[in-house]
Order: sequence, then structure tokens, then C-alpha cells
Amino acid sequence: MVIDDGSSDETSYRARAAGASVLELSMNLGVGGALQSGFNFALRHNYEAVVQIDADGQHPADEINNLVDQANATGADLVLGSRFLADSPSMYVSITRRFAMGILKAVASQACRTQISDSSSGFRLIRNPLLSHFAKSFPSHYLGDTFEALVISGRRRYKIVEIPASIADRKHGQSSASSKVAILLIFRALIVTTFGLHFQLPKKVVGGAD
Amino acid sequence: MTDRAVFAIEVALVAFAFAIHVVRLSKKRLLSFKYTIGWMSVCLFGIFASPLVFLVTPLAKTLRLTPTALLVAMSTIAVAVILIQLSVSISGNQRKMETLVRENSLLRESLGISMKDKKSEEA
Repeated sequence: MVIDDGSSDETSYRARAAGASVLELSMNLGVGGALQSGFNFALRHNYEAVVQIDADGQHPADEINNLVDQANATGADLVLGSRFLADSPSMYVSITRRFAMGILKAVASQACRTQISDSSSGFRLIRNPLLSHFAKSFPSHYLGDTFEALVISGRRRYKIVEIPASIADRKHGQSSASSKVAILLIFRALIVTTFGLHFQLPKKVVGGAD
Repeated sequence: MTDRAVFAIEVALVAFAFAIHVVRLSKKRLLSFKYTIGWMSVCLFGIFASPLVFLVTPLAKTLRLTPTALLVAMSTIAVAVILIQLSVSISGNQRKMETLVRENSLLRESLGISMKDKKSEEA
């Protein structure tokens, strides 16, 4: 599934020509809005789970099986592929960004009641019933789709598991936020999660239908 | 004619002029019926409440404010309430628009219709 988030290039045409299913959004909804469209597509086609993967080629697609295996083995609602758990992490992170990410990590670990090393990873598996809830309501801004969704899921008692995921150099494009902007956005995410200004997510019902 | 009477007439005239402007905007379809009714209510309140300006001074004295400060405070609160209501309205419309865009893309996908192909055919 390729989601064309209001692009003006030939993304959708070429993706369709290569045999992919394509959702064309007539205007840019942001990463969260595009993901939410994909979640809705998955639900309408009765998929049990979705795997989210960044389009810049940083995550090898063959590691998707690791996420699926882990979800099946643990019954987790959300499986995170961590860029910092791999044997030889090669991702460079500046000191200021590392500091801010450390704060996010601490908040996410506390919310999820398990050690989270990569709260902003864009490589993850989401399964029902969490998938159904995300299809109805999902944040569209930077870090909303990753950190905020993770923290809120943890607080609502959804099971979250993290596994190592290898990371390669970005093959396409560049980061959507500079270091300074990213730090500002990280503080916004912290304010959102601290004061509960985020989207609504029902608490997980343990041992019964959700 | 006293200063208060002059001030009351001035308030009524401004409210009346504002009402005319609202009606013009509504006729040009720049203002929806809902907001036309809302702003007309504000104008009518201005026109009919203008004789009550004599209450401003005693009320300001009770609150230990100058009449000017009281009027400014009341106006600021009114504007803030209107702005919050408009922000709520805009946020709701934004959510509806995003849902519409998503539903539109899902429908086009299920029907096998592409915007880009259509554009290239037209070109």
C-alpha cells in the first residue's frame, strides 16, 4: 500500500504501474493523516494488523517478518523496531537531539511500563484492537504518530514490545525537521502528553472484547 | 442633551451600521446563515441596550474600575469568547475536511479511479 499524501510528482502513477495499491489524498494531511488513511484501508479489507515503515529506505523490508513473529509470540498490540537495540547501531544522533530523545525515552518507558529505547521509531506493527482505534482517531503532527501514539497506548494498557531493527543510511529525501525545530517539536510532544492534550484512546479491556 | 444620551445614540448608530454590513456580507454569501444570525443578535443587543449606558458608571464604581476600563474589559471578554467559538468551529471543519479527503481517497481506490491518470489524460 502506497499513500500519496497530496504530492505533485508521479508517485501514485509509478507506484500503481509497479503493482502497488495506491491511496491518493487530494491534499496533504501530514504523516499521521496518511497513516490513518492506511489504517482505514486495512480495516475495510479485514486486515488483522498493519506494519508501518518509513519510505526513506532506512529499514530493510525483510525485517518486517521479525515484527510479525514477535507480535504472534507475545500477543503484543504494538511491536516497535528499535534503531538503538541492534548489535551495531550506525545511526548518528547529535548531542542535543540525543538529550531530547532521552527525555522522550524516559516518558515512554514510564507510560509503557517497559524499557523503550526508541520511542520515535517509524518501523512498527500495530494490530487490532489498537488498529481500529487508530483508524478512528490519530494525531497528524510530527511525533504524534510515533511518540504520542506510543505513550497513549502504553497508558491505556495496550501491550507494547520492542525488538532490535537494523538501520541503514537514508536512501531518499531528508529529515522533515532540523535539529532545532525537532527539539521544539519534542517539547510540544512532552506538553501534549503531560497535560493529556492528545487524541482519545479507549482503555484496553483485558480478557474480553474491546 | 446629556453626554450619556449622546453616547447611547452613538452606540446605537455603530451597532446599526454594523448590522447593515452583516446583511451585505450575508447577501454576498460571504457569511453563512448561522453566523449572520449570531452577528445580527450582537447588533440588536447593541441597539436596544444602548439606552442602558447610564448603568456603566455605577457598575464601574461598584467594581472599583473606571467606566472606560469596564467597557474595555467587557469588550475584550466578548471578543475572546467569539474567537474561541470560531476556533472550535474551524477545528471541527478541519477534522471534517480531513475525514472527507480520506473517504474520498478510499472510495477512488475501491473504484480504481486515479486523479493523476485523469489529469494526464486531460493534458
